[in-house]
Amino acid sequence: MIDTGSTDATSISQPLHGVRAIVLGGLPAGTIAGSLLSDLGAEVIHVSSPRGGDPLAHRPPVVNNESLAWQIIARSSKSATCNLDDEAGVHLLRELLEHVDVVIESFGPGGLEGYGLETASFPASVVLVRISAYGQDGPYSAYSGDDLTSLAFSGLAHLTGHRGGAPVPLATAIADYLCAVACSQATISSLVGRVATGRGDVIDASLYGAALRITEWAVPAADRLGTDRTREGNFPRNAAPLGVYSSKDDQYVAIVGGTDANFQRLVDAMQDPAISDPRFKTPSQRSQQADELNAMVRAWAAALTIEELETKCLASGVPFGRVYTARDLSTDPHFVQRGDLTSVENRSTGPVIQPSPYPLFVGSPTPPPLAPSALGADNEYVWVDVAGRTSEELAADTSRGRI
Amino acid sequence: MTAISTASLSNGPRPLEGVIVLELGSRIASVFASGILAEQGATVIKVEDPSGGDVLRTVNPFDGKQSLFFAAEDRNRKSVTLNLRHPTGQELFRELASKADVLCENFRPGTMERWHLGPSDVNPELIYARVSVFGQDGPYSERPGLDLLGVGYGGLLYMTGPADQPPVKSSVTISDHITAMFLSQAVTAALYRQRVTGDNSGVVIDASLYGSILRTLEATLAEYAATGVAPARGRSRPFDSAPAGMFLTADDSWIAVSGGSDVAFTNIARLLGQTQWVGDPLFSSMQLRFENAPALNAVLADWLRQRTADEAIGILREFDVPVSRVNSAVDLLNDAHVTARNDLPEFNDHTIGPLRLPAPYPRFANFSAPREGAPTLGEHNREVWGELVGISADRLETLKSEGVI
Repeated sequence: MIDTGSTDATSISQPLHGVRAIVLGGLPAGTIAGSLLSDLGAEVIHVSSPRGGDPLAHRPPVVNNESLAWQIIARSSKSATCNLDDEAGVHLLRELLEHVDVVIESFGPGGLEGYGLETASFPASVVLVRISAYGQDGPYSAYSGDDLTSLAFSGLAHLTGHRGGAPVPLATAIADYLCAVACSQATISSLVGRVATGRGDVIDASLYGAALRITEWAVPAADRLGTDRTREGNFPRNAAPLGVYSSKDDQYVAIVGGTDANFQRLVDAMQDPAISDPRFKTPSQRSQQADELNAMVRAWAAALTIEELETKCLASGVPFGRVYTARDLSTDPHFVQRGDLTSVENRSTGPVIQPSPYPLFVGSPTPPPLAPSALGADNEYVWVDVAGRTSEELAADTSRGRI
Repeated sequence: MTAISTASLSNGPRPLEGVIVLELGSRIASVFASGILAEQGATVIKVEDPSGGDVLRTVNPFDGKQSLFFAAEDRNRKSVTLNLRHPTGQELFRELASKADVLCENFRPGTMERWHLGPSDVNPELIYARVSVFGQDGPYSERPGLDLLGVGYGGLLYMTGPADQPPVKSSVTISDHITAMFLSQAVTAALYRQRVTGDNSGVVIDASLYGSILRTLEATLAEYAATGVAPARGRSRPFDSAPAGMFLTADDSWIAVSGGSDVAFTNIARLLGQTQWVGDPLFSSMQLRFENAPALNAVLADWLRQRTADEAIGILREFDVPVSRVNSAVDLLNDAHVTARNDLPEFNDHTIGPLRLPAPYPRFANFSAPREGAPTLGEHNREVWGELVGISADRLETLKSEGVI
């Protein structure tokens, strides 16, 4: 743990030190994007309804009545409340906009405008990121959606699963995270441009678009070759032998021998004359006989323990991987040495173990994240210190239900 | 509508215009990271080995002579050839790096240093972005690997797939791509800091493939710490709650339905005629619905099996329950929304001509992203080595004959 000497999670050496962002709306991707900006040193403020707050604050898994997910996706964020159903609340938010660099909103198309917050009236310097399930325009733009439906819509779910089996959702919120990282990157890019122009930008981010962006050759192959790529499980057709196999002691292992160099290394590791057959000489020969080759590797793997396989593969330089569980991740010495996990103190739950800020800036360690503020805990700071209201006005706004 | 119109401002300056990025990548991660920067105006120069270039150029499927995998990943960049194993090549690289702002590389840790091209050997103002499977240090850092290992060590693979079957990987390289996104974000943040502070000192960024996956695990580790049970395959994803998942319809189509949030649950209970669900203490929170998912999912699965995908999607949308068809690439090319938003625009591939690829993401109102296709090997040697670095045509010929370029 690094002693920053203050209660602020950010440090002056962090790249986004001095940037202030507010997060509005309830989509996880917006909250996650906020946490990514705060990992880089930005001050991130959730502005939520005083009634009930953020629905994500109840996102499972819940342990001892506390959402562990919220502790992590909203980490280091401050919290202010503002009732946007009240015209005076909208006016307050407008005042706050004069003092922020970035707005991330996920009310859905027309949502901000519905509150009377016309985006054309935002300060020109503000970077506005609009996250919605299907983007700000197009025939589906009014439909709701989330990580799961975006995996499906984008094509990623169709490309994930066992061959011939059901499409399966990836087990973490990959569509949300792809969207969030892209939004955070685009926000910072817009801030770079703003240094020269003084102008922010309006960014339209659908939940599905980032997942679609990474579907590799599926679209051009459909366009040019008329082939419709589908899920091929653990054994791809265009590279072999390669896949996820089982060891003698029932552990899953990844073994990669697709390229010429890796195949030769695997031949050395296996010491099986059958696999050094000239029929398997080139990558295209190997991919044509992928099933046969993968069966040979499967049989080899099934006869050895995971330790034996790892030793043999590493000795020959074959890419070899274990399939880690949360337990493995929590104890692995490599992860410990690199500081990949962080424990964040939380008054009600105790320490919450979570992924550290990623990636690493070599030589400038990132301060550890903080637990998110409770709903409205930073009202005094946000409305008085930042937005410039007086303490008397704050008291009046509070008693009238505006914040 | 008062939203700023995309059309009226789309010719504005791109925020990363003037930024020069050297991409020393192969396959995907550092290639895609630099590709994102290119979408926002950076000039990306891909430095490839003269003996054949990026290995992705040789990966199936092909359209004629062009790998469509390469065409998709390597858009919007210039290609130059350079033999980094050759001392003259190393010298030329240092010259090129002195003109650049960013370098993205994904060699095994220690390789660049062995070539005298490590962070302390090149332009001290460079943002030096490094991708590797296990990171630049730690006990596993020198091990070989690729995307699949990132997904495996990062904890995603173990949890993905049906309960009664082995874990299953996506056919798409997830850790390569998401690592690239995180890396481009960190690079952009470093550029921002240089611009704002005027301190142009270089930065080294260390991105492991497993680390990007780990960053998406959210509460998986905290849940394990609290319960002592490592989350496994085959349950709903906890953040989905229930009823939710992939379901088969009467016409044998797969659709994804997400009815676990408080709002969607109330709506789907009404739609399914199960209004008693709403007051049931077994289902009164997202967490409880997650714990009691099988009972809820069974009712939804039955209902969907009796309806076609179109019919079911129509009804679920009417009740504001998140739903989508599980689209294939052909479905996407024919989808009305994808068409209206121009999500699959045409690029100009330098080998095969017009080619439809996923659109730049996200979209900015102030400028339009470039749509240049992938370059041929060494296509920009004259432009980059001649004009940017200032090498004469004669010397270029000599370097070529010596196998340096």
